[in-house]
Amino acid sequence: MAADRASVLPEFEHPPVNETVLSLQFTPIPKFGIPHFGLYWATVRAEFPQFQVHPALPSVTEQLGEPLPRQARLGIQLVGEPDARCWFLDRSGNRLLQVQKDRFIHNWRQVSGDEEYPRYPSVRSTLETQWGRFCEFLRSEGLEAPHVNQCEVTYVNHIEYGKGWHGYGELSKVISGWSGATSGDFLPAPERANMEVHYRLPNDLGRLHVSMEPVFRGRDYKEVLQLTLTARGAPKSSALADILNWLDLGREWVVKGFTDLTTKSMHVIWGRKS
Amino acid sequence: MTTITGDHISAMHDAQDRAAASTGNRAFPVRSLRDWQVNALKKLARLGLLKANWDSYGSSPIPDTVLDAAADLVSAVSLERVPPVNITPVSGGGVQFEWEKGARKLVVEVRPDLTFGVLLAHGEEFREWLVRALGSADLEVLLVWLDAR
Repeated sequence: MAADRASVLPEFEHPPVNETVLSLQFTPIPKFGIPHFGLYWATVRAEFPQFQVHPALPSVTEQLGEPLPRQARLGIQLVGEPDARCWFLDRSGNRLLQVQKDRFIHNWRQVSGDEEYPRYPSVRSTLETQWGRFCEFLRSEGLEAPHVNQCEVTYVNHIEYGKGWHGYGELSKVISGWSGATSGDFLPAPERANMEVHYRLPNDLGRLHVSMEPVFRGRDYKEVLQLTLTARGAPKSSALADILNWLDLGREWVVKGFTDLTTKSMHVIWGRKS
Repeated sequence: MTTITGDHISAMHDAQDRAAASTGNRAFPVRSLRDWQVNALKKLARLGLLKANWDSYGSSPIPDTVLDAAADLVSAVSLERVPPVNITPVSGGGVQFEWEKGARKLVVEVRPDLTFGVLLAHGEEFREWLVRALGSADLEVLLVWLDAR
């Protein structure tokens, strides 16, 4: 399936991707406690020898029915012990697994900035392998199999200034839908600009969220335009094939969405091949 | 124990914030930062480049978790006016922020175990605390004290 979709997707020689995230969210696994992080680490430590502890991420579910009120809804949560999320990092720090009682996430990220993006099939393959190991670990501990309710694909792109554009007065050279036009001649060129757009996938399969924001990136605190695309939705079932199928769909929307949203002149700079 | 939480978020509205949380790389939105914060973050980035034994006493590099906690602490301060900050590495893997104004001095250390040391000095008098958590709101209170006449 991944290969079928990949054959028709736009491809870039030097995509500005800084990070990719493949995330699986599931109903909290009963009895999954702090000791299980260490036990699980033992199963992946050879490949992911470093760890960090972070606060758990909240549950996020696409609401595809009637629109919800703007404010966050209250939920009731049974709290037995502190929620934690553990990162397990490979030696380079480029790849990491994030585990919490209702999430399993695989990230590839640039650390030094000169690493080449290993491409989706490689990231997908790692997710597939490690998810299988995680499920096997849960089985071996007598814990329930995870019921996956949301899949997520996120690409974070860092578009540097000076490469095809110089400041937000030339944002139209980067973002295809941005004209920069005004009705009159009062306003100068914008100093900076932010944008957030949401698209619905067909057949209630999920959503694509796009955000554009000037940021200082943590690696070198250089100011860049961060363009983040996140596709999220529910797989048909928790079966591996359905999970991968949704991730492939999400990736397709992210890649095609990115290509649609950015200009052809930037595609040339990024070395579009197809 | 049962608690009421706001954790179950409608993804339509808050997706981007939440997506960012699942990323491993950090980025700080420009719109929320002032010049002193940008400079502080740049200094933290430089501290992140320190190699092992940077102090010639065998200290390890400053862990990312410490740098992240330090960056989180200063990047969320919303005060317009903050005295110049001196940021230094601490042997053992911590980061120290030091502000001084007149006879008042505020020192905040982010320690390797992610606890925080706080020192307030006014002339010859001083008080010291070790706290498990220190948020930006707490830091703002301390900075307001520092800036008080």
